[in-house]
Amino acid sequence: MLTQIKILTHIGLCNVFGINEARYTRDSGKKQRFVLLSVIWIFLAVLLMFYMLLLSVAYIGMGLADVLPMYFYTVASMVILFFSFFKAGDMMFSLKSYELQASWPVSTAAIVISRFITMYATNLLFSLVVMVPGLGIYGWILRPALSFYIYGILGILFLPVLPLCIALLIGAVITAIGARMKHKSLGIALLTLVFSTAVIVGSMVFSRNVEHIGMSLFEDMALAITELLRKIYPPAWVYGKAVVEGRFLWILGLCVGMTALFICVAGILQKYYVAICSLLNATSAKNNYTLGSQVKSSKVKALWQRELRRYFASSVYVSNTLIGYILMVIVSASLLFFGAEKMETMIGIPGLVSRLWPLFLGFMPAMMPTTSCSISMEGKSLWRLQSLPLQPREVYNGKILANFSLAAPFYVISVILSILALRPEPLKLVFMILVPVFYIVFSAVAGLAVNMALPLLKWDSEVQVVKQSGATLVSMLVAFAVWLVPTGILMAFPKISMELVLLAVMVILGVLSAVLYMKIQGREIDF
Amino acid sequence: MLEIKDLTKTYHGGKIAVSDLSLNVQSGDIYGFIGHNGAGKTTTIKCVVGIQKFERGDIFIDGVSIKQDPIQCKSMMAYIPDNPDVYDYLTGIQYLNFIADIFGLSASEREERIREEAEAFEITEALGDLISSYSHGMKQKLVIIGALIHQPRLLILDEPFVGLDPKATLTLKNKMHKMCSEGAAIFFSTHVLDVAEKLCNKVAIIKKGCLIASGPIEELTRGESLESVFMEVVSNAYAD
Repeated sequence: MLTQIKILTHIGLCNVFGINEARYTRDSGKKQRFVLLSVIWIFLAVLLMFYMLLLSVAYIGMGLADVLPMYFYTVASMVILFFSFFKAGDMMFSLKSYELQASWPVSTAAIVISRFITMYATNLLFSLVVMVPGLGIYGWILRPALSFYIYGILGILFLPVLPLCIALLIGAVITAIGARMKHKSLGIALLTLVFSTAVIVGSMVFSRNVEHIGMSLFEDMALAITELLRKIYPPAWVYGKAVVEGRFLWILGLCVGMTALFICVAGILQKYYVAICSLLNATSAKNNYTLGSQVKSSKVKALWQRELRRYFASSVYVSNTLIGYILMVIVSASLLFFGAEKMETMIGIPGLVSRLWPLFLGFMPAMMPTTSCSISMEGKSLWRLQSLPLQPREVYNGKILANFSLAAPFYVISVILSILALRPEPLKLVFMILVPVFYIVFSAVAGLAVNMALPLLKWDSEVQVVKQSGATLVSMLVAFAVWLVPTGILMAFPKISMELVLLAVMVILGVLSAVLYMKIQGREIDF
Repeated sequence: MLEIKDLTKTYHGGKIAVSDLSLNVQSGDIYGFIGHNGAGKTTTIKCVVGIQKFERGDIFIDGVSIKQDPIQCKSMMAYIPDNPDVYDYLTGIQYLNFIADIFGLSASEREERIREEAEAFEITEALGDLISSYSHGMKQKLVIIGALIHQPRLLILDEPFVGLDPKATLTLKNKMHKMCSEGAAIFFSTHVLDVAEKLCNKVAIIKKGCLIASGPIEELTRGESLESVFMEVVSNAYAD
């Protein structure tokens, strides 16, 4: 079985980040795109490491050095859990791979374990990026024993196991429940979103607990954080104690425990793997259609409808893009429920409500526009659009329009909730209504432009397009940048007029959207 | 109806897929396009239907250049690819209505033509189901119906009989004959020489991107089978 796992893992890893295609393609454009994306990924990793480095220095400076390993361990685990959760079910129970691999003489356990290892490998990289700077700074300043480094690295190797196991189990349960529904993809997407919302609300409650700690005496802070982490994530506490106090048996116990957990979860998943895949694979065909009268629609409506049908047919597409819109509603409802002051402390951004709210409202729906992967989602059926008598702009407009129609209800609800919560004066009201609109328009157009520049048409799983493609990453970075710059200006210069900055934001986003829109209109459907 | 003039297509990396290819398909022709795997058949077809760009030469559909006016050209023709990768998330009837909307068919026109073609290919009862539940052959039938409902003047097919059951194959052949008798033209690639010999009035043989023989089938075969002519022509071309 080890050979089977090795072969399957090798195939799985070849697919990650498109390394294999970039290596063997003769297309210089594809190679260039791969290099560009690699540079972006490395830049982001360096940025994150630098941030963790600064955070570590600050923690050590505050006398919280001993809390550092367990705190970073918790942060890395939570991030892995949150991001793996969205893709775990789809990656583990990938239909296309199942259909292919089911015919091979390989055991189900080998398939399950190889997929786990593929996910583990990418998350291990993330864990190293988060943990290594903290441990390095700790070691440099406090000069601990050699065991600190050995236990520290050993613990990191096992860090992704627990969050991945939780994500996979939840993903399996959601997939199993959703697969029994009439509209499987939509069912899975909705269940995923319900769980995500619960996690977000849960983390908000957690933030409030941390806030209470902050208000306690400074001398007790290390103890209070340790106690809190022990309660919410015991493995982090065990890891921290083992590393800082050099407890061999603790780190051994942690590693053994993680290994045992992995074996148990792999056992459970392999037991239900075929059943869940079969459920997903099962297609219901009534075969009783009688042709009645048909209705003619305009080209625009036909393209728009097709986009929406494509969107709602993919659970991973829905759950990953709708989360921004749901967040928008959640924070607006929270604002109404908790009030401005509590919201600012909970989210931890001073002036968030009084000066930054329109920008904050705009940022959330802009994070993950549906357009950023709408070209890639065409996949192998792109030939259909290419061979139809359609102006490229008609196709692109359909994609942008679908994005707008998905954003619209969430936008309206959020703005109404925000208005009810803040009761703004007329000028602020105008900004509250208009700024998010400019963000939504810009992100939809920019997302499409980015996807045109970085298309991914050959894929096995929708996860590759929605979660791992360069287009979604870049478009998220673009949204982040256009939010961060004005937010940073308003925070750094408290005396600067908010109205002036918001007006500038609208003008710049408007111009950028218009320029990009003009540019993509001229692009043919030849990716 | 279809004129390919000095078509040259080079892929990224420098591989020449089609080189200086010229041929002429007239109204009423059923024109077979034959060659080995990787000879350049699909690339030529993709250039004709506007899916792939080409750097040299031109392609005219009823006198209109695909480079100059691709929309006009595409509205006159229909394309059936070798692999029917269509929208799995739509039902069969949604897909056909989508095609009908793009071609601007009225409600009554589409109803009549969908009824006629779906009955001919025996797929009416499955039209309410998602395409993802279709077999390969059913998807192929759906793509064929989608190609026929707007009554194209030029039909381009890439290995159209792969995956079709014998009855659907016969239905498609009959449709092809009927279309040509009404003045349309058909250009299709195939590996099955027997089919080409019986169905086509003209054939073109392509090897390594170059056209090595073309013309009316009687002139090419001169009483021999198309298979032996093909083998001879291809072997001689290799020897060259």
